[in-house]
Amino acid sequence: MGASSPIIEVHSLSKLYRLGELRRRRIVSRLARPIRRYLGRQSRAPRPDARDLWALRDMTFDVSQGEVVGLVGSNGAGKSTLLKILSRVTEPTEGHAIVRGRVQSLLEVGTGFHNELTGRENIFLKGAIHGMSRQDVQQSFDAIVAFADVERFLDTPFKRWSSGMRVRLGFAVAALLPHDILVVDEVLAVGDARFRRKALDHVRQLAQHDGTTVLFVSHDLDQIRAVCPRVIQLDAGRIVADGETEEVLAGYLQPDVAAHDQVVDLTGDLTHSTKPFIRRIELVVEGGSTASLPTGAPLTALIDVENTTALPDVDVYVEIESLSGARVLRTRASHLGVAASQTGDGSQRFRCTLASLPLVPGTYWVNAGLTRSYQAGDRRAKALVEVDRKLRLTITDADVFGAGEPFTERDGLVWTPAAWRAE
Amino acid sequence: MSDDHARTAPLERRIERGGNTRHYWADAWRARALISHLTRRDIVVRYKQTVAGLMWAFVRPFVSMIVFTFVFRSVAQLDSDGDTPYALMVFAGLLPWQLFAGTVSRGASSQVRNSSLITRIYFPRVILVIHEACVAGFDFLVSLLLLALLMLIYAWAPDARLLLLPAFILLAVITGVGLSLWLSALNVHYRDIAYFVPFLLQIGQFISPVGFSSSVIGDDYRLLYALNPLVSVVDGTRWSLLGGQVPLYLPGVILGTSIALVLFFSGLWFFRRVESTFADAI
Repeated sequence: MGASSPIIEVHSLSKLYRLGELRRRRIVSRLARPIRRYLGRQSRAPRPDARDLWALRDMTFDVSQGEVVGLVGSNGAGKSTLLKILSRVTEPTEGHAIVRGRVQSLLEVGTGFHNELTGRENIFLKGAIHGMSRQDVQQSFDAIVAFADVERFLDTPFKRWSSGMRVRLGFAVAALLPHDILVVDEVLAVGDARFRRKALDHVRQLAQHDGTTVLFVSHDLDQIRAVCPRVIQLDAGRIVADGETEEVLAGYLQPDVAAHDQVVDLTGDLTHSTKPFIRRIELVVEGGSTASLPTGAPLTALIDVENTTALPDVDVYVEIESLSGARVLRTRASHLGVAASQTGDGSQRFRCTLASLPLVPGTYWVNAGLTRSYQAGDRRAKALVEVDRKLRLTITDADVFGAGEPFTERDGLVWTPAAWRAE
Repeated sequence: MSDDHARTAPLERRIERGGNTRHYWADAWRARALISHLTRRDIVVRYKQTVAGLMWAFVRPFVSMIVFTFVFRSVAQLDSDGDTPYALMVFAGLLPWQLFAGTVSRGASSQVRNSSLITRIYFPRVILVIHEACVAGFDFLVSLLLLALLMLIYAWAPDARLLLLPAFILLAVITGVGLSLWLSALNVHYRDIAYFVPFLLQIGQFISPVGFSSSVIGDDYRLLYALNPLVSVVDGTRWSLLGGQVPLYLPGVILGTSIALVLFFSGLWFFRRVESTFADAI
């Protein structure tokens, strides 16, 4: 194997699935196909049909040896189909892939285990199903058992095992048997947190020390971040993004709806409402017009509220949410002793200034809303209006410490001013 | 497994439509350990959590031997050939039939029963059919021991013709595997097969000379009767084990063997051509 040739080459791979109930005529014609083909009466390519689904369409990419590549995409994007084709479980309809090395696939952890067999018997059985000889399995046996932490249950029938133990053993068998390429489909969504961490560490280590190539499907983006320097995003069977993890994930989490960068005007929806509502939100950026700021910059939000007098205890908040849905911070007017006026026409503007955004580079949402004020004994304030995911804020790399080195998303979850001195 | 492994295994595979068939037999050979593992699994699993354990493997054929001998001799008043004890004759016919029937009934459902493997991991699927034949073969060996015991009781010693027994057993296996290849491939698309197989085997047992000697068939119809390869299998097994007055009907054996081979190779051909659709259709 030449050192330069990629370990996996995928060339315009496509996969067609025929949907719908199998109709009698179709089954007959399908079963007769080999005979007709033998007689030279039918071309090899299947005819298109309205009920066909292209699970993969014209997909091309390369993976180099030792790379750990994450695959993301919504359900039905084609992730599992791709892994199944690379594991040779199902064949592509068009295109081809070249795989240079032994593939170990873990499409579901329980595959190959039998409930009536003991743990020991199951390890050998699953090893054989994964194409390993008895000696291969024998050599890895102790490591597998130790990794899965199941010594005590080796001679217990599998049906008496807890589901966590089964998952651990399933992962351990596939991951510890010799291979060049490991294909993992969403199997680390189960199992306890400690084992998940151990498994992720193992995957990372496989790539770093053994040169194993890993294809990793997960809906848990933190897992993807933890192990994959590169991510391929699929949508409807096509590659929509392929590149450095944070960049791809930022695009992946960006919803399709047009988001506003600076002002959101909500007047249209609510003009005749008699309840309090937010008419307009504006982000004011010092010396700029777009909401693209360096880490540590100040941000001001102007919130125009109507009908504040309709209720006696309206409170306003501004919050910053990450694209993966985590609330990074929230500040409420009442925290600072500011309350809506109870007199006048009920129109009021609130100005919220965050002196220094502690955000690492990336994209965020700026949300605002109205709640009832906290009453003594309340667990949480009752929400009145939530303007969520309408305003987008982009934080860029910046040399916040002025030492010539930017603060990036790899430096943590938040930023804080810091002082260093060598003494 | 790091650097030196990468160098020792420069396995390069082209994955494309029809690609799995290219190295099919090499893959099957590499996966041969799977046959013994699956066979062991299916045998071991059967007797898990039973007190008698492997004893059950002997009980079933023993009981069916008793029933056959009693029913056909005392109730149906059928006679065997010449001086061959009726129990021996029936048992010698029942054994290869059960080998065939076991292979077919297990083999026909082999793909569907292992669908969780088929949809998640690749190996040549023909292995699943072969391993079912191995499980049936295990049952056959157990029954063969019982037959040896029975022959001891009747003080019936086989002669040199015994050396031809493996040939007839092989014929039973080839017929069974050939039919299984057809039925299991069809069963993936057409679950009707699962309902059809029991009928097929029930009728097959009546029209094959299992409970009687094929000497009851008139000479005019012997060649026609031999279209069923199981006729040659059963007759041949009896002939090689028990001898008796009835000589082997050679044209029938040749015809039956030819039919079996056609069934086997056409089955293999068909199976391999639809095999790539299994994971998507199952």
